[in-house]
Amino acid sequence: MLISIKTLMLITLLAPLLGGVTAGIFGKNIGKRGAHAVTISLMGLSFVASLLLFKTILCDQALKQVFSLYSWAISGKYHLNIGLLVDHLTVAMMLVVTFVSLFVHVYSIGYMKDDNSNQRFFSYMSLFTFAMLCLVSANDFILLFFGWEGVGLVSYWLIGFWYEKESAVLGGLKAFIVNRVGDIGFLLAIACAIVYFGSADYAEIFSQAASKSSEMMQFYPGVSFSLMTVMSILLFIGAAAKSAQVPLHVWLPESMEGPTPISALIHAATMVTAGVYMLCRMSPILEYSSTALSIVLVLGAITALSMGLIAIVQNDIKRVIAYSTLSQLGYMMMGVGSTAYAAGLFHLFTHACFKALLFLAAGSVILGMHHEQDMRRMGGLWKRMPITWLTFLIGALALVAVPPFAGFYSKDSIIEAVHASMVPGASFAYVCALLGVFVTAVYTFRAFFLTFHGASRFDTKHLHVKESSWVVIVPLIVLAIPSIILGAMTITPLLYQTPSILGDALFLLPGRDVLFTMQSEFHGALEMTLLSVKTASFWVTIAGIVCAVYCYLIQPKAAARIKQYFGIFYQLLMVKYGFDAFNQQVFVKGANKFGQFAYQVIDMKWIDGFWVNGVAARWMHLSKISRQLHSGFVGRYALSMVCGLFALLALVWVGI
Amino acid sequence: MGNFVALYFDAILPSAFILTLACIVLLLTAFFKHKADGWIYYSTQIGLFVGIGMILRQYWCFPDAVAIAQGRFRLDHFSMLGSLLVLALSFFALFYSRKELIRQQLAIGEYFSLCLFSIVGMLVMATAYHFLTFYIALELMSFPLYILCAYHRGSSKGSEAALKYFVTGALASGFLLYGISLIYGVTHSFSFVDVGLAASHASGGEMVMLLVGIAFILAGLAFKLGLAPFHMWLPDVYEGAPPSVTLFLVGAPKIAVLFLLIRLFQTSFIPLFEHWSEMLYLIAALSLLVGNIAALTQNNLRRMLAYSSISHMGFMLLALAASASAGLSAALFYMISYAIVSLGAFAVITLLNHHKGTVETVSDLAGLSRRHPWLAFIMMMLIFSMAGIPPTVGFVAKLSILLSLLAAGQVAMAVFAVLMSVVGLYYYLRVIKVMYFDEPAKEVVYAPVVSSGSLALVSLTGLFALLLGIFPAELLTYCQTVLTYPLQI
Amino acid sequence: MTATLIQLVFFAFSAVLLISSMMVTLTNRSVHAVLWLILAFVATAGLWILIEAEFLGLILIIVYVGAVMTLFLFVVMMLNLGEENSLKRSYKSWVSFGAMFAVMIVLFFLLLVAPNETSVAVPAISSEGNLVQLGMALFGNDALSVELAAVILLVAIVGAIYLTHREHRHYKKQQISEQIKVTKKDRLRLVRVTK
Repeated sequence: MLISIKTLMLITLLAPLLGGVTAGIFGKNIGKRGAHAVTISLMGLSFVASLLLFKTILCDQALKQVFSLYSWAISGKYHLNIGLLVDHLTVAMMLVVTFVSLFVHVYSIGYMKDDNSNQRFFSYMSLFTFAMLCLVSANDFILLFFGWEGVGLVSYWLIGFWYEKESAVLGGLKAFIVNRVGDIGFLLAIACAIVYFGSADYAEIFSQAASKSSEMMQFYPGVSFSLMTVMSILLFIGAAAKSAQVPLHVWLPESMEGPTPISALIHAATMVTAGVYMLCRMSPILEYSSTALSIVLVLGAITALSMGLIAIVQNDIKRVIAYSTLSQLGYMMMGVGSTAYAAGLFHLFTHACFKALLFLAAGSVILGMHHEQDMRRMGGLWKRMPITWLTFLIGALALVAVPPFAGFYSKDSIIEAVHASMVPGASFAYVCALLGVFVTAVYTFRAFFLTFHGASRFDTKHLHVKESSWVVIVPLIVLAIPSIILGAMTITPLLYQTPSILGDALFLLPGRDVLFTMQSEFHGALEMTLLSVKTASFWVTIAGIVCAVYCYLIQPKAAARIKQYFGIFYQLLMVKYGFDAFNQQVFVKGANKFGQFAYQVIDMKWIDGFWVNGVAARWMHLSKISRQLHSGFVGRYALSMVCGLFALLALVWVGI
Repeated sequence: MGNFVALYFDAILPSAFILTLACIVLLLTAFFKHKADGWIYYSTQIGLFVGIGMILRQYWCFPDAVAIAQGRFRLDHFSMLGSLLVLALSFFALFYSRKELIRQQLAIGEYFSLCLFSIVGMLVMATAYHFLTFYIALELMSFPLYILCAYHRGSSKGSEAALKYFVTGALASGFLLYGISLIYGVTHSFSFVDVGLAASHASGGEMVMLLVGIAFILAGLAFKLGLAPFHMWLPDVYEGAPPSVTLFLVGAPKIAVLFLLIRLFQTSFIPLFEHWSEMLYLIAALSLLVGNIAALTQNNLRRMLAYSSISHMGFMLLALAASASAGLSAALFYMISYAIVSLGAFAVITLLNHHKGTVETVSDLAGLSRRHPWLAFIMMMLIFSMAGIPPTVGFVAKLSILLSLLAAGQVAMAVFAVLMSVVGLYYYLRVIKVMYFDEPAKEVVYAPVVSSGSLALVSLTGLFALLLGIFPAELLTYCQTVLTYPLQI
Repeated sequence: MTATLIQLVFFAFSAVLLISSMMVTLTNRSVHAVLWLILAFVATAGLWILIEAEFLGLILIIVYVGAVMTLFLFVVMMLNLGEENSLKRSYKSWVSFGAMFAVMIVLFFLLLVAPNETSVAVPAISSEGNLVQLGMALFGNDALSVELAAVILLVAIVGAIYLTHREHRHYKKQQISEQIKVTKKDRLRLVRVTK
């Protein structure tokens, strides 16, 4: 090995930072082309380094390594270090992140060619990659939190990238604010770790997890909860905000106001999966709390189904995919909740590829349609954009889990895991999962047919739609390949091999390992593909696709009839179950009212008036009084001295 | 016997030399009137230097403590440090006096001789080990100061301040004498050591008498240090006395009194520590309160600095009250750094006096940053140091005092001291704001003419404030070392 | 019996001393004040003699009553000061304070010190007599203090002369350094004279 693992790690991490900073600070000097060259070449370097790392760690089975970079803070008994952790999970995540990021960078050249702030855009993307890499390679909560906030911040910048557009700015704000809610949970979890484990370091915390598993945490006398449950739920609150789980999902659809490459990179492939990643990392803690696992499972299931349903009624092509992302994140959470962490991560990896593919293909369509996103004004594009059509189809098939596409293996594993799981709420989750599969098929193919098939519902005379340029097409093709083969290739080593290629990153209590139970029925990827015709989920998928074919291709009026039939239900979906309205009414208005109160009464009158200026004024007042005491009469001077003397004598009296 | 005489001679040599010098200066004035002004100035300053040399010689000759004249005096490194500081600070103050006296058209000869007489008192005070010696030295120090306050006979403010100083000073002397006589009544001794021994056995009525005596003595000494509520003379004197006299007042006399205070309370009264530390806390807290509050609304610069000095003395006294060995060294460190810093600040103000007008109010400093940037910078460093802003020496000094308070378990006192420092920030920062951001009034727009020598010396204080703030360890350690002397009997 | 007599004499002299000292401050006429002061000195001398410090008592009478106070009387008479009514009025408001403090300090001593009264042993008087002892002290170990006391007197003389000397010190003379420092700006002002 020529280059040490530490060097490789640092290259992978710091190359995007360097690219981002260069493009950001020297953007004016190096120009648009220069910014592309710098960021993409450094991103490529990072990708190559992470490939080498992947090879070293996974293929050559190098040991897990921990590097301490420096001490960030030492306060009393707490030593907070910044360190990197290189294990199987880290390098797998790094590879996915750098891979998607690299091709999204390339794609963005084409997508953003008409935009004037390319440098800013590329700088943000590279910085995002840096933050995301920090997140996945952290050795402790501190760096994890840095990365966590870093991706959140860049996501906010990028959602509001077109800051002239009010909806973009508001979308960014919404993402930022909702994520703060999760951050409170996450920060409290970190605080829990530091208080109860005395360290923010993973290894330290995990080694103590077993011994602290029965420890109780007292809120106030008489009310105490299990430490592990509290910590796990707090972690899940953080993860739920980042990975957009009900009820903290409201920001993700709004985030589609950002440029499409961003939706692919941040809001499909990488950042939103950070929550899932984090929960998997924390499996040694989650394992000790079936309550928390159950909550994760049930909320994941609710998200998977309910968000899928909303996707059916959306007309904006990006929003459909956004809701589909929400739904798929729900599946990943179900994987975590059913303790099949590996399956959750497996779906994370495949989803990263096919969802990025779908977004980029949608972006290609949007480009072709000159920034038209409404599917009601599309149709029949397959002849005009064949490659986009083909890649979108591949992505769609992967998404709806048709064998042998990637999504089939991962999603099916999750469904099977939920089926086999003993965690409370598993049966409910299983029903949701199966219904979700049907819904997924319906909305995916609805979008597919509305966009690419049927009659063209736009002005064909004035709008010349043609295939996008090669910088857009190449990433589509590159991403289409793993969307087809990744699942079949990696299911065995990832899920059923001992030791798994994720190494010892995941922790399972004995007897909880659902994948181990499923292993007896697994006989290789090929057989799984062939036997899929015997599973329920396969037929549910087919039913969904047939349904979509009937409603949107053969009998377009059927959809409208269904809409009339289930008017109330349709309305419910259109208002997205009222989450937004509820937030608006309760939180936004409430916060506004409270803010007004805080400003006018607490701040202006109490703090500023009474304390800040008031205290200052009192001092000045006292000073004026003391000035009068220093009147200049020598008698008073003597009086003051004698009084002082008597005060001393009084002390003598008191002291004896 | 011969050895005794030689020892005696060695011990009193510096003060005897300065006394002789004072008499020579007086004679020169009497016979040559104003023609000898230059001679007087230079011989005084050189004489002070020679005095410093003599003290340094004592450093070599007396590595251990020596009692002189059956314990009337005591010569050790502690007393030598006191003498050294007195001489050095006086040198500094007198350096700026001559020009100022010429500006005000005041006589040179009497001024320098009076200052030298006062210095003799201070030198004896630093070595005093006996109540009689101590009292006489204190009076010898104070008497010339009363006269110096009224030195500008044409100034009604000066005469008024001097009269008040004198009258209240007489009261304070009365306190002192009464306290000393009470203590003598109990212990039948004037010697610090014997009083200490008697105090360690005292109980019942004797102890009450001793404590009453201590209260009176403390009141008298607090007056000299300008601690509330015995501080009333201080603002009037700082404001009313000629600037050169104020300059002399802020440094050396306070050092001398502090050295005596430490010696007395650590040698004689230490057995009654729990009782008098309460008194010190009371006076310190009052000083902090009065000094900081009264300074807030002061427009007169020197008056404001006077109140600030009251609060500083209070801060320093806190450490004496906490009185662990670390506390004492913190107090000493604080006093030394404050004496130098305040001397620097008053020197800057004195330097800015001009034949066209004197610096009286804070607003007279307006626009100094443009008129004389370096002087403004020095002033800023000094003011920062007074306010206790890092990295200046004032911060380290305040910090070590707070640490000693915390070590003594006086958390409430420490919090109070910090709060008062925050209040103090207001008037300190106001000076800096005026210097750097305010437009000067039209009449005072002139660039101060400052000779390079005075500028160098005053720059030294500013740099001292900065450098000692960054490297305080040496002086702090030295303060600790030197304080082992008064603790051993 | 003798102890009682001594106490009786002590209280008598003390009473005279207190009353005369108070009268020094309370009387309106300066001459009276000086006379009351003389009485106070005499009473003090009596107290000293009572504690067998005869030399000090006599010296006090000879020096202060005989010389210093006579000088004082001359000065006061020469200045021909009248009744100081205004001064008295302004001090009247302080009398109550003074009385209060006096009562307080008496109470303090009565309550705190008196109950714990210890027999304060008077140091044995050496056979040499206290004049010899005084001499030994003044010219032995305390010689420097005596010298310093003399210096205080010298300072007082210098101060008194400086502060009261009538010679006009603010004479006009050339200030050469000031003259050198003068710039064009200080002396010359160009004024545009309009038609």
